[in-house]
Amino acid sequence: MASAKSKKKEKRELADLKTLGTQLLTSRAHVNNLPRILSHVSPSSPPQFALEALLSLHSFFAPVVPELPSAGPSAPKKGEDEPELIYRSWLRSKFEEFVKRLIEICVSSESDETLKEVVLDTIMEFVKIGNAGGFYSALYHRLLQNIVMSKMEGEFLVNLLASKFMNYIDVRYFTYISVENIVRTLEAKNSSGEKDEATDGNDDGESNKSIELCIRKTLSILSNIPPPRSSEEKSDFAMWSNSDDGQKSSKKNRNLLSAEKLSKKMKLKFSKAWISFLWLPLPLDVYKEVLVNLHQTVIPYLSKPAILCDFLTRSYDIGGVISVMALSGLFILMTQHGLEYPNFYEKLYALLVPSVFMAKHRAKFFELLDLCLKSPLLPAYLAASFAKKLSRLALSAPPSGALIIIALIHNLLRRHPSINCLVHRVDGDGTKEDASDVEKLSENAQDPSTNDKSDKRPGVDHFDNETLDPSKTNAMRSSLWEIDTLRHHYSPPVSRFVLSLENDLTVRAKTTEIAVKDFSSGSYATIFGEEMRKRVKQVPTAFYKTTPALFSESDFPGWTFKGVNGRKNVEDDENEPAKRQRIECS
Amino acid sequence: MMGAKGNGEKKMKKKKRAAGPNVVAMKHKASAATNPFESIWSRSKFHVLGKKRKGEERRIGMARSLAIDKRKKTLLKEYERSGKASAFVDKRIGELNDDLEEFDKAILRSQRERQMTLSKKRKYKLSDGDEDEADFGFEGGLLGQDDFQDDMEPEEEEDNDPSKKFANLKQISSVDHEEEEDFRHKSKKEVMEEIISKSKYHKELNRKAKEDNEQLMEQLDQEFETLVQSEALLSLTRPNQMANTTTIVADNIPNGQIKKDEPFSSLRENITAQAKPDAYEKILKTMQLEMRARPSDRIKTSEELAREEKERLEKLEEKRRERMLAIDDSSDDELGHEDVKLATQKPKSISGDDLGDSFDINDEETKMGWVDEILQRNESGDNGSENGESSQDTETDVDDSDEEDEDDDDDDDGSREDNENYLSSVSFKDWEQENDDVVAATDNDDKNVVSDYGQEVREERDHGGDGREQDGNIMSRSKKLSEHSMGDENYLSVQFESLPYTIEAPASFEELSKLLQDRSDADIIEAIKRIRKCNAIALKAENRKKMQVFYGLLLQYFAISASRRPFKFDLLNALASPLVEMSVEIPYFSAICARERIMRTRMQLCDALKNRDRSCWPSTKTLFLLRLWSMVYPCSDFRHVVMTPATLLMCEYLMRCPITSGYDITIGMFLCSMVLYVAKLSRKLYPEALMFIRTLLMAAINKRIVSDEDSQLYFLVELKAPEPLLFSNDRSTELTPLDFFMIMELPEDSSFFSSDSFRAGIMISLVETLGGFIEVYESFSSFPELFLPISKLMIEAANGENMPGEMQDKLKELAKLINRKAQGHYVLRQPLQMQKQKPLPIKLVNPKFEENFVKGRDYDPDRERSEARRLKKQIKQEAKGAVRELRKDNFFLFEVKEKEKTLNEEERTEKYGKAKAFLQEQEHAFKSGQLGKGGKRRR
Repeated sequence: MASAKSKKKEKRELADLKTLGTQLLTSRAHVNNLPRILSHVSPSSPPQFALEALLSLHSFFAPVVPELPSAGPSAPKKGEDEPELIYRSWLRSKFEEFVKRLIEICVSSESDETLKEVVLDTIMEFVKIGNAGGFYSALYHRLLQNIVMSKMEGEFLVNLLASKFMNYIDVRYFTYISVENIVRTLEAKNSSGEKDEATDGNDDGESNKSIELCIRKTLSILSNIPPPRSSEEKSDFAMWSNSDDGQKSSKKNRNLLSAEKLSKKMKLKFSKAWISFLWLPLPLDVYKEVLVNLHQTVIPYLSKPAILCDFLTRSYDIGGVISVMALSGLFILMTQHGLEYPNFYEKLYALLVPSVFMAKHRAKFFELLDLCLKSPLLPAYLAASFAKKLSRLALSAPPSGALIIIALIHNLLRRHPSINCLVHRVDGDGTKEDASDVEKLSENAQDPSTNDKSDKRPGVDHFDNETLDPSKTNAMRSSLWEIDTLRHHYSPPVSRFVLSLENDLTVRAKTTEIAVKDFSSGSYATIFGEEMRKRVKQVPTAFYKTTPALFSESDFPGWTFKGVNGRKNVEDDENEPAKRQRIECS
Repeated sequence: MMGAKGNGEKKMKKKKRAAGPNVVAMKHKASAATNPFESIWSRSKFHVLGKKRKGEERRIGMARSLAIDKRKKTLLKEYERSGKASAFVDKRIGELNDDLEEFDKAILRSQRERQMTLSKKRKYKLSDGDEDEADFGFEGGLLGQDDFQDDMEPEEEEDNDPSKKFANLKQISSVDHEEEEDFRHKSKKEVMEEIISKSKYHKELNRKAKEDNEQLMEQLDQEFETLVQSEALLSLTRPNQMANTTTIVADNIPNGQIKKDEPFSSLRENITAQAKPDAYEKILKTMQLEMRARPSDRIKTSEELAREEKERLEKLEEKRRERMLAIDDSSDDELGHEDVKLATQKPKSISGDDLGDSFDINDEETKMGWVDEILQRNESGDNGSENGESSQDTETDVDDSDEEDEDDDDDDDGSREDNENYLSSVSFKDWEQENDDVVAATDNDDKNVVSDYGQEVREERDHGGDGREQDGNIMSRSKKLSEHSMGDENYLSVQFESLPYTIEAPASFEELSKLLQDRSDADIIEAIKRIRKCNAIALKAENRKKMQVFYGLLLQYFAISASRRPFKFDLLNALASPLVEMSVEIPYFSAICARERIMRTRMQLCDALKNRDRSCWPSTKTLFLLRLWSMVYPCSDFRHVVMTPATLLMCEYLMRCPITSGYDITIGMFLCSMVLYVAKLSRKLYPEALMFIRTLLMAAINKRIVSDEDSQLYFLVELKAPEPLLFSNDRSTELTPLDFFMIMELPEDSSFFSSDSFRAGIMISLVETLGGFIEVYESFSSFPELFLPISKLMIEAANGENMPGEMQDKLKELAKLINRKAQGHYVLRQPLQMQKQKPLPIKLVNPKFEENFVKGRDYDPDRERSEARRLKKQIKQEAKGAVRELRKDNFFLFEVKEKEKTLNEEERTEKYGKAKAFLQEQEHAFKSGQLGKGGKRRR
């Protein structure tokens, strides 16, 4: 009963609101309805009311706003046309309030999504005409800032914004600018937060969290902006603020004239926004996400990509997975933008650890590794170190990793005939040495453990696995015995693939490089799938004279399989039911 | 000159007509006489070394005149004809053929003439007999030889009559003609004629052969008779042989003749009577009387064995039934029954005879087909038993997935003979997989779950048959299990009666579980044995399908037993051997089963790796199955349809599963031991196992400061609980190897996993396994690189304060062993020489030459090249020859034209001279005044 009543009441109020709105629109006399309608526009009011109020207010303000004076400079113009001026400044203040409420609705987590959509449209409508017919950047900035700073998840709004308005160049332009400003404030906040850290650690976690949220939202805004296309399409320069018919033609001419300049400006703002963003203390997952996409979405559009080198080298120095991920960006900078990176290969060498074969982004890494080692101008010691290190890793890598390693070594051997001694060392003076060996042995019998070790024992591996400096690994004096061991690898594709190293790779005409791409994305799953895809043609079975026991101590050294009897020793209470069951059975 | 030649020819023509056969010789003589240059032979005075000597002796003059003659015949003719519109063609037979003499030409012409007349045959014209005779006579002979006077017709009279000769000639030519135009359509009459003549000819031949034969026989008989009657033969031959010969004679001589020689035959009988049996014959007779050797005690074929076994069991079953029915003298029967049991080596089997009431049901059961059984089961299921419901539920659930799976498996299946068998059994297998879960679920369930059982099943399916989620009180549960399986169901009482001797292969898991429920281990094994005997593949073709289904069920039973706590180790062990044997019988199907299971297990692993909240290490079921497969299939194959994926799966477990507890360590360590077992057989490198051992060793070291390389490994094997899980705290722990089954029955959070005895046990198995790997891998060229880091870790671990002394010794010993072997490698191992190539031969500088070199022969080993060169040379030669010929032609034509010209010139000058002479004469006459006086007047 009560609900019906309240509904009725609601209906009546809604009707009232409607009449108020129509009155407001019909004549100036009813302008005092404005505050009443305005009061309905808030995140807490029911959506129908808010919508109704919004509609009427929107249609009221839309024609008026361009003529309204901006908030600040209203004072000096006093004395001219007092009543009109007062009215206008009042209107202005009301408008400001309206906009504020709208933004509140937008960022509040309570309000409905469809309502938010309408509200956003309205705001953007005002942004379009707000600044005396031009782009109202202050409002737009306020909107973005509120979105970023609010505590709710901004995903929906950002997506909406991106899908509807980011196609307009001016929207994009001002987005970059405001993002830069927002990031500045965030940074300031962060540094102040750090200062506060000493004072109260309790609040610190929370503020950190909120900053992280802000950063995430900023990233989502940045990544949602469609990248500026290099081809100068017309649609690329469509302006949001001038999309109305009247001024369009005149403005367009101006745009066309400054197209190049415009894109330059865009690039500048784009770079500024990204650079400032990257200087923020990014959380780890954001960091990874940025690094993964950096070389595709950011670097090509920067005005000066070299400014990223700080960021990239810093991440490359971190080590581990992040270094692996930073490598692709760094590689672009080095190859296309003339970045000189000292000790690049040392760092690259340091990245070769067993874990890299299980890492998520290993495919890209191995392709890049192959690319980095492509130059035949690399010194032999470097190539040898890489080859030897890789082959050492093959002893601990999964089968897919072993495949990649063999492919990489194959390519290395082919590019650098000088390191062919790693797989094929014909001791040219071997016979001589052998002859002298005997003498030496007899000579050095008196003083053992001198430095003749190397001569006496050809099998000693001089390779130093521990050093991180590829120039000091002594790899050239070693030999890839590990590859020989891989011949006995349990996985058939691996042991097959080793054979490819057997043809003489120094003859470049007869051999081709192996495309690392074919192997780099391999995993247990691919190898397993490959095996299972094989058709079952014949099934040999083992032959026994007498079938052996399932488990015996001789097959499994270090275990016992006493079962029931063994259990007796450990836990006595377990013994009983087991026995009971046996009795039941028999 | 021309005139002279023309005269010569004319003369020759005249001569030709005079004496035909000599004309050619004359012609030659004449031409030889005309041109003396033709008789000159060109000949080289010296032999020049290396110069071609082919065709050096020839008569150049002769060749030239021949060429000129040829041109005269061809080119000149053309030239002469060039200005003319029509030409005269001589179409007389043989006129253009120079080889024929005038006489032959005449013969040919007359032949043609006769042929023309003959070819205009009338329809009803009959041939006369003579001609036919001649026809078939020729038919045979002509094919072989040309000469018509054949041996085949000796009776044919020789005829010198020219007309006859001509007829024969005609025959030849006509036959020739026929051969030429073999495909000419023969008229009906011709065909008939041919057939008649053929048959006549053959009749004649037969008749003649018969006559000859008879003659010969007669002659032989006479000769033989004289021979037999002469004493010489008798003295020479022995009586035995004599008998033989006489028989031969008797055989050979036709019946009529035997009558004739009756006196002779009586004589022969006398001879045989006189001949006494000698030693040879005696032996022969005794041998005839002796028993022939017979095939005895043949080794039975496998089918026969199987059949016998089946029959034996059937007989036993029959007896048992009889005894069951005869309740009166049960005491006697029981004794007998007992005996039988003893005979069948089944001491533990219980005599079910006491439970008299249930016998009837049992009888029905064994008689009924499985459909009825299912019906019965469903009925009983309605009595509130959970089993029935659950099975129905799962069946409906599984239907959908079955179809998909079948589709998937289709391509695997290929063109195997047991295609449909397989498909049908695949569905069973899937069902089995699901049922597996169900049973596990029943394990987990509490007693009171009756109502919403189906739902439970679905929920519990995620647990995937591994019983690790079970809570602590295993024992109580197992008690419950046995209780509720015995339950209040009526038919369950049947279970206690004895095992039937003949058992149909169960077709569904319910049947199997009903059969095996609450039996003792020995009974179960006996039952399986009997099922296999009764349905041996060797007996019937369709048994293959049955056995395949049964194999799937048995495998499932094995898997369930492996995941059930407490372990029935003896049962599992006993189940393994029939499974191994059956896999050998149906290898293809077993491989499919195994692959399917491996695939599923891997999928489970992937799921577990994605959501990390539960352990991803394999369940005991998986472990047992993997072990079973490594027994069934050869591990040493380079690539095996089952073992390759299975080992890959084992290694993936070792590599990817994070170690979080002692339980994980146990399973991982056990998996390592299994990998070692495979590695021992296959001698292959399994890096994952070594890495796992290395990680465990690190867990045994208390120190957190580890070398750089080792810290990298933490990324690799995700040691999520980095605290030293294996670090021993008590020095005095005694070292006993762990009992695997005991540990597997412990709950995951048992305090035992943190005890020192557990740690020591793991360390023991680690050391043992590592020792095994060292042994296997010692021949690998990178042995030092593989094991030296491990030995370093071991020494470090051994130096820990609280490590038990015995363990320290073991670790140090092993480390020493590794170091020793590594040193050995350092000495012996050589740098790699992978790219071995055949040594290139040194280029030799001594001269290459052919023995018996002939100039001009192509010694090129490349056939194609030499061929091409030869052809090019030929082209060049031919072109040269053609140019030369053309030049000569031109020259010849020029000469002819020149001759004509001179001829014309001569004629003209002659005419001119004549005219001039006439005019001069007239002038003279005029001047002299013979024709008038005009001249005088003028003068």
